[in-house]
Amino acid sequence: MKKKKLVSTIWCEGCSGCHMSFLDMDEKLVDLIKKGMTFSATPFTDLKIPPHGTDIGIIEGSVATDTQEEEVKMMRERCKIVIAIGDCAVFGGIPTMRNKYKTTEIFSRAYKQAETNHNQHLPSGEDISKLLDRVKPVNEVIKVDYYIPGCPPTPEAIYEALSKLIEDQSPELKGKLLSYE
Amino acid sequence: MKKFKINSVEYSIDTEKTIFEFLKDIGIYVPTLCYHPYLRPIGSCRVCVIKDRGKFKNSCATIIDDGMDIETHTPELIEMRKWILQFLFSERNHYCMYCCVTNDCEFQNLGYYTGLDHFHFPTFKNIFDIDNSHPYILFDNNRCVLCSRCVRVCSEVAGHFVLSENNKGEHSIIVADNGVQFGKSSCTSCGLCVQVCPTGTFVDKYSMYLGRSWETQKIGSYCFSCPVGCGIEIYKRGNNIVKIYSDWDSFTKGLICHKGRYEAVINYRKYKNGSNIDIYENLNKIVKDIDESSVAVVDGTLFNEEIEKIRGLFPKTFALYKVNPKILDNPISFDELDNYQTYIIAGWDLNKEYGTIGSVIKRNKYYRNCKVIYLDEGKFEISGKTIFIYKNYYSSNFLNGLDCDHLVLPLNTNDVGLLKLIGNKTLQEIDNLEYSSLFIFSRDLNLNISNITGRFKRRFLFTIDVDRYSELFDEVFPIVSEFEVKGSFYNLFNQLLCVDRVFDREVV
Repeated sequence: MKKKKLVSTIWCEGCSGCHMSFLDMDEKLVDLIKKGMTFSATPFTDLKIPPHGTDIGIIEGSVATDTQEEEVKMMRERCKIVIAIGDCAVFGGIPTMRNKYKTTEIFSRAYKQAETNHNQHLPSGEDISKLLDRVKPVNEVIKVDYYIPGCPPTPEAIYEALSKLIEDQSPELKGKLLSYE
Repeated sequence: MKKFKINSVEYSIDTEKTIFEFLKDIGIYVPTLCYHPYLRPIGSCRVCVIKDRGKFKNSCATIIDDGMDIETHTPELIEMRKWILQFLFSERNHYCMYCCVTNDCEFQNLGYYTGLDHFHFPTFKNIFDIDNSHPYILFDNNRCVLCSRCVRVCSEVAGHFVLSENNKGEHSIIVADNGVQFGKSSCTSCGLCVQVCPTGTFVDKYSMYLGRSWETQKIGSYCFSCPVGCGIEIYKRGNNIVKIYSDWDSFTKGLICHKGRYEAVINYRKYKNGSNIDIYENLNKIVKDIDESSVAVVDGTLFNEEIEKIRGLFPKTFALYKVNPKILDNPISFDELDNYQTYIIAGWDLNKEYGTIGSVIKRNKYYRNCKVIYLDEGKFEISGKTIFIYKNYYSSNFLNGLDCDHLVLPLNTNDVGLLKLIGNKTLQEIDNLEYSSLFIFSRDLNLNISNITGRFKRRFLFTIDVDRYSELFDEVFPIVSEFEVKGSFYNLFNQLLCVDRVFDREVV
């Protein structure tokens, strides 16, 4: 019997919309499982760390903090194939809007000048991840094998990519499956 | 006769054509970006790359030569176009998802065409200030791909020479007047830079987020904002005008000014609500008590059909001119206006009024080294084929003595039509007659008429802006705007231009 493909996902600087789109595959998920797919760190299991030897690693969201940089590098180490999914992971997406400003300006606007923030304390502590100077797409940190752009990508696009990868083929998105918004 | 091959098929050609034009004629699509059919090709973006006998060339600016062996869609070329696009998408902010022109963008469409699914090179390398100082246009260099379409259209077509490129390499930006704020520059707001921009660098503030081009209905028409009557395309969605673009195929060849592009849209949106009177359709239902003592006054802001209707309803109809216009014996055409050696302009600032005629003169001054004279400069000499462009307060003796062509710029759009239909019967004649009711018809009453209205017992005005003149009149009736009627008018070149109804308005 053919070995099952193990799939893990992580969620960096994004809105979880791509994970929603992943779940929106609905009955096609069953279809993928029947074709030979199994899940580890995904919304199904609620595990956070992908195991070593994962076949397909899916990254949602851009890289905006040092923790996310580590997580993305861990995905590259532990997964044979890495897919960047959604506009944030592929291009940088909405979080890149902050690239126009310095991080100090952003903190000042969010925690000191914000109309609803009354105590005006900057969050601090060792366990809080640090913002990078610039929000980056995943391919500026690690090598990415496949890209599924879209905000979020359609379930059809994700299904198309995964079903090709299960059969060890190289997926290519065309027409309506390719979207930048 | 030049013989050449395209994808191993032999062709021959007599005329001088670029490779791209020929490929377009035979139906082979090659993507382009900096190329625009109405601008001089410069071949700067290289997206239209083709291969000729082992050498890569840009098809948009290369003239077909004898013996060429052109390849258009080899895997090598397809891959090369993809990488050229990757370079164009790099360094700046080309994130489609939060751009206001997404899904209506030539640059984005090229990304889809080549199947680009990620950025290979880093973005946001240099960050430029967004210029929001212009009243109508948002200008963001971060989205620019330096195709220079805007620079070319501003100089070659519009003749304003406001936009230019500044700096080098990755620091290159488009600037207005060599680096002043766009809103404080000499820009006349013709908006042609917005019309040709393939990205979201120049965006109309009054059109953004109201509808993409493919969500709107495009209606070809003529601008009713001034007597030039430029060809325009009205983009309509629901009961709103999303934007007005100039029509490249009309007699004005893509020229337009701020009045037709922006002010007409803003005015339409201001008065579009409520039900109004359509003079042509139902004026006789509103105005019932017309007797021998009623007098109608009409100005050139109405269409020919409306003027005829009013003339039929009232026993006496007078015309309202700022100054008496004239129909020239041999009216010149818009094309002829391009061929003069000397332009004498009297009384108008052609950057503010009649911007299209100003554009023609300015670009001829630069590209053909024509002489431009403003009359208040004192002594001047006429040389070559000359045209005298003036407000209508020069006597015929003076004009005949000038020994050159004349072009009068009337105040209202249809003043020439009004002159043809009503003639020179102006308001001054009312002095000698006894009338009790005055009916004035005007879309935009831009003359001082307070000295006339006082002599009438009953005064009525039919106009668009109802609140503006309510003090002077007993009653002011709202009429439909120029976008809500089907009609015709004569422009200052004596051409009869027909305008279709763009919107159906509920009429009283």
